[in-house]
Amino acid sequence: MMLTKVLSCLVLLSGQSAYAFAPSRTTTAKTTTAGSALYSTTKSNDENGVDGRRAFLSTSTVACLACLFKPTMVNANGDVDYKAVAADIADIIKKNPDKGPTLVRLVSTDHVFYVSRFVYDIDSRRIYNTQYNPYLMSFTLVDRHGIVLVHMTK
Amino acid sequence: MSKDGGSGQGTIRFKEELAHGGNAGLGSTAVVWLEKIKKKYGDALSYADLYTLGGVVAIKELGGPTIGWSSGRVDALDASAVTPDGRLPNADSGEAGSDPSDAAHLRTIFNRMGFNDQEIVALSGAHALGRCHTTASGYDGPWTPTPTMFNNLYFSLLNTASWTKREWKGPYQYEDGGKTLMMLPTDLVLIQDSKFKKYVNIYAKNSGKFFKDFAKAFQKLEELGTVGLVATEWA
Repeated sequence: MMLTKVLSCLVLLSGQSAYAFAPSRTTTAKTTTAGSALYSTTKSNDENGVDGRRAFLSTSTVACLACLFKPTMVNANGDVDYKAVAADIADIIKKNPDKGPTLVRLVSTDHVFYVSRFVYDIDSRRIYNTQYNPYLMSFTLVDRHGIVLVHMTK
Repeated sequence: MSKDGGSGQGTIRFKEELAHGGNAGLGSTAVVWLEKIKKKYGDALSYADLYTLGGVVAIKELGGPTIGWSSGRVDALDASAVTPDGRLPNADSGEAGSDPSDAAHLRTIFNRMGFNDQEIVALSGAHALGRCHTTASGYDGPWTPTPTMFNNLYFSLLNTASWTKREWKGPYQYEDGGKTLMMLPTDLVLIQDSKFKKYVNIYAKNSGKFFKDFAKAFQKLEELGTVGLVATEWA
């Protein structure tokens, strides 16, 4: 994966170098590398000239180098591609179905520690669910429809 | 034991929580398998989101329902967030029903998390998957003959098989007539308590109802103690 990224960047940089020292013209450069899009538009004219293009080269070089160290499967807006994560997990199970039940057990035991408290009305009907999480130092009051009424953090 | 608490911050990755009796064996298996994926995606992916997504993906891959999942869990930074041991339900206190607190014990554990009888039984249906290992929990054997298939067979077997105490040096457990399957005392209590048994009967007859109720309860389990999650398409 890293090798692919390095090669992609080298191709990109060589193209940009050629552009930076080419005759002036209006150019749009767009590259996509492993889910991360770099999109730059530079209008080269007499005002910017070669200096402007070299500035573009510097900027895009930094961007290319940065993408080498950027997590592979993160979108441009910083969100994780959860479908890709799910596919990777599914691959583990497809290769060995016996691992599936263990993954279910992992998450079941990880979340079985939570404690909720209920608030009842005078007829003993549950009307609110209070949730206190000491680690987040938060308190949440949820009505019986699951709507968060109050959420407080320290 | 503290009456409050909560996790969902990926704390099971810490050795302090992996040392809990109920988590035996997970540190060298599931945690290791998912660590490779965690490294691939980096800090943008929290352990808590990864572990919870692992659960719903596994259930679907093994033939179960597609369960709604939300992202946005925040990891605890260190082991100080690990809860004390002893919050998992005990699998037995001897013969099922011999201790009148068996059913009460299950309810105590799950009610404090906000689960009712129907949800307790639905979640117990996850025992359709996997098996017990003497090297981990001390118990031995699978609950069903199809331990890598998510289905309602667990409930059917609870109702139809002949369960007797297994005579061995291990902990108290039951075996079927063929001596190939097992049940824990906390499984058998589901057909001894009339309120639990009502739902066992329903799920044994209606797989679709079980899938629907399980999906709802499991999503609820995965979202305990969380705030501000965002419904996320994963399948």
